[in-house]
Amino acid sequence: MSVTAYTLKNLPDRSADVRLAMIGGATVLFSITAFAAGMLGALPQGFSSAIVMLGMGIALKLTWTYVARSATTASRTRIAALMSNVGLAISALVVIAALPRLTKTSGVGLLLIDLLAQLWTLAILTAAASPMRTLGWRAFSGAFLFGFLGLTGLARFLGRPLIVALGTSSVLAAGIWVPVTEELCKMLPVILILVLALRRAEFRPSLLDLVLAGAWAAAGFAVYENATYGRGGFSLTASPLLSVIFPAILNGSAFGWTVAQAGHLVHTALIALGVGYAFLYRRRLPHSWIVAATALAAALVEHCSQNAISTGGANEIVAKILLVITLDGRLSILLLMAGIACIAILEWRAVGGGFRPREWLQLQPAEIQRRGVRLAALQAGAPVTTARVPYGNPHD
Amino acid sequence: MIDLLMSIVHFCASCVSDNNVIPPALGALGGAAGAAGGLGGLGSLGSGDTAPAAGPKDIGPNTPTSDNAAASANAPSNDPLPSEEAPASSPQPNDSDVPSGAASGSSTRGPFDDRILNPDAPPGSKSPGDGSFENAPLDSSSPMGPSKFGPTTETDQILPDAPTAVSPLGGSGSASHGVPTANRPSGNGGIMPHKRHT
Repeated sequence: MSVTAYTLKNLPDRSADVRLAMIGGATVLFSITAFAAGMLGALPQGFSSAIVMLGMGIALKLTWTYVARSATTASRTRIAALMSNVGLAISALVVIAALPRLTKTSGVGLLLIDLLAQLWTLAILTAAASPMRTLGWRAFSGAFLFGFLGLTGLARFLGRPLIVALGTSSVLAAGIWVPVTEELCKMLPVILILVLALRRAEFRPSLLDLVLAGAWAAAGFAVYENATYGRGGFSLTASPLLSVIFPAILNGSAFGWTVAQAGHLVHTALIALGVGYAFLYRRRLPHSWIVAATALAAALVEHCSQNAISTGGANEIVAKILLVITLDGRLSILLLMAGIACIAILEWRAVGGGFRPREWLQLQPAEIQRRGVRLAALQAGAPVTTARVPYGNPHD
Repeated sequence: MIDLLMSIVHFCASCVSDNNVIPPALGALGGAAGAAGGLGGLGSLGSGDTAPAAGPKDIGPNTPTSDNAAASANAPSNDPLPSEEAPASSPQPNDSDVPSGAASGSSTRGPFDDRILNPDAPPGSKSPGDGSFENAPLDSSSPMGPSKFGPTTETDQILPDAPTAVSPLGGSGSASHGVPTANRPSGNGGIMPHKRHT
């Protein structure tokens, strides 16, 4: 009898799974019903939203519980993958349903162009991280959709009251409060992965996994936000050299100076890089919190200063000082590129490099495990040695 | 004038008009679904276990439960796993080029730990997984008792299975309980390494 068959017949395990599935299914149905009732006017919108959020919170907790058990049997692994696909499909359908409302300002074309610009950068970052990463496309797609639909709503929930109270031209609201809360919201997927990683000693993700998770979530956030404003673009020349990697960079001007506006993706990726390094590699570098502080400061100063300047409420001298400090908006990009290059070299040496495009595209579980164990050793402070790369069967 | 000077955009999802954003309930629904999809994609990081999802092909009397599948599945076996049931997040024991820090940093059985838990050990005895057999007491009152498995290593075949403090060949006798002791070399005239010959 196979393990799968045995486990499926193992009554306590199976009944627990069935119970979880029933509760989860009922909760999702209840949430969808509440949403439909709100749309049809049978329930007040606020009440409907609260029920949906509560229901989806419970569903997420159940998903978390099931995923935590997913490695115990093959059947659970398959069911977890199926759940993931269903979740992504539902989320994608919601995006499609939301498109008419999101694109009524500037049309679908501009949204697609902006999406292409974000995906361009994501593709480059993902390719650069491919020899080291341990997370697959589902995690990143989920982060993107979560950023697009969930994190924007959460950021709006936190920021909107102050904007309404103080006005859109308020430096405190638009220049300080909103950037801080938005960066915090976009970091939620990264924080989740980081918390999971720190609970493990024998298996760790790559730091670039965190950067990618943050970048994908922030890209979703940016695409949504740009669509609501009716802006976006794709240019490989707007900012020399930088636009080749970040074609979504917007070129603005303030006080006669040209300002490169990197946007959410760069800011969140940089913060994820700094915070991730401070936690994952704290045994390799004393005072690693300095890395996190630097990344946070660079991203927040850029985000806050550009928001404050755009509202017209910033003092000119202070604004110019901030622009100088941030290299006219290029500091985050340069720090991010330098940081990714350093980490990629460090982790590549530990994990074992080699050009194997098949594994770059489709990560195999055994390869994920191999990388995770090596990264755990690296992050634990083991000396960096160039790892032997197994070719063919990695276990030969 | 301000418009000419300030032509930069601001990144603020909260300043958008309510007419241009999707309803919060729809966002929560889709966002949670996306988050669930992402959670399912975390793989072994999201699960509490690094063990493979599949154990040995045939389940004997010592079938692993979901709790101890991790430890059991790490056991070396010549039994090939069916490919469809082998998510194979398991490392193999012969992958020996792992930095030493990998195992030392673990608070649980490491993924490269190929020692076999002994299900037939007498009650109260420790498993070889914690190294206790290597440090077993030499006196005859050891709770391990005499071997019931027979010799399993080359050294064991030489050493008599007697509860003597010092064997005639210099071995400590600790290996005579019939459990492999970390594949120690035996070509040194019978003197086991790291043991003082008294």
